Amino acid sequence: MTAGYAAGARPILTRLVLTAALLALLGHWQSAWANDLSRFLGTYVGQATVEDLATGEQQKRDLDIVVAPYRKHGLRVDWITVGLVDGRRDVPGVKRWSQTALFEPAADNDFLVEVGEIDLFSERRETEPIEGDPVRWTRVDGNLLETNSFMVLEDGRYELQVYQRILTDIGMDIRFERIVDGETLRRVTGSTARAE
Amino acid sequence: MKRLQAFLLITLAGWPSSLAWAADARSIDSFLGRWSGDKIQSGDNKLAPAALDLQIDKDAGGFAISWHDLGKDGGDRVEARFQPTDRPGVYEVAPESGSFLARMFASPASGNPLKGETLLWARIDDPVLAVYSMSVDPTGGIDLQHYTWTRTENGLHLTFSHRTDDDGDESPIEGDLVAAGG
Repeated sequence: MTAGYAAGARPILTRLVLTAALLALLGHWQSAWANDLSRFLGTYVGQATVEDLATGEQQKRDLDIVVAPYRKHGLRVDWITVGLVDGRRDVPGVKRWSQTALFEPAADNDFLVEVGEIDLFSERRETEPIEGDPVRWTRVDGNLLETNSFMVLEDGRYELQVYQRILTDIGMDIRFERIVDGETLRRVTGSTARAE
Repeated sequence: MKRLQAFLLITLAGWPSSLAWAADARSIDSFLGRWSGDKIQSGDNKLAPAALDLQIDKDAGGFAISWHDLGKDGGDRVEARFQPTDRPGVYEVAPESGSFLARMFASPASGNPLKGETLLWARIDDPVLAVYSMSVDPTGGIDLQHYTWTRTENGLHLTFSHRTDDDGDESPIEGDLVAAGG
């Protein structure tokens, strides 16, 4: 009886050890993922050049980007862009855009998906890309934090926006492309420094 | 007065045909049939012209299309059935296409790429028929394929582009197809 109990207890013990190991691994993955993102956290200021590839027109923009944690393992990116007039921001005609994007890890995947602010009163609806709902996600690859926005347009063509933030020694470089049906219409390149 | 009558006659005679033309611009009719790859004008030279072979048939309000997946070296044969959406000229993959597409896509559907599904759709705007597939892999990498067949005097002209995160935008494959009859 005792021997039988001992023999039965061993598999249970093995299972407990395996479960503990699995939980430890999962915890490690979660913290590794969070660490991956933590390198991007911070406030960055800099400048970018916007290039309209159809007209060849170029414009200078001031950038102000804040990358912060969002909820448990997510990311919040706030960015303010100032459209300069002849390189200046203290003259009439200056423009300012302010945007925010919230991302949370995707279930069973190694990337983040864009989420809206939680609204208890709004009805949740499945995303339907074929109906024109945008598909937005963020992936991390080494020093690259890349946000993609994909949409099927009304006429069936597609629009893809790729926003890359690349960590550098002093801050983050910025690369942005707006592509419609395979044609790059707009390109932004810029560099920023981490603000103290 | 006779001039006015003649003008009205010509205008009214032309009207239905211009309406028909407007409808045809969103119709699959001018692309129906079997098309054989004739020559490949650019690409990595690994493909034979037969890799461009294409067949398009009418199918319950939409169309069925069979082509080779140029995104892979093997060029597997792919079949899909498309049905109209609420948007003129825009077609989504019919749900029962799943079995045909199993080799090409993990979970074929006009679905949500962020849930592992491949978004597959088509667009007709004469002289162009375009088929697209878009998916996102578990690490967030995009795979976007874009086939464009444009009607020409001699048949169809194909442009295929493939965007992945590994290679960025690969140089497109271009080629010509001629009607194969049958």
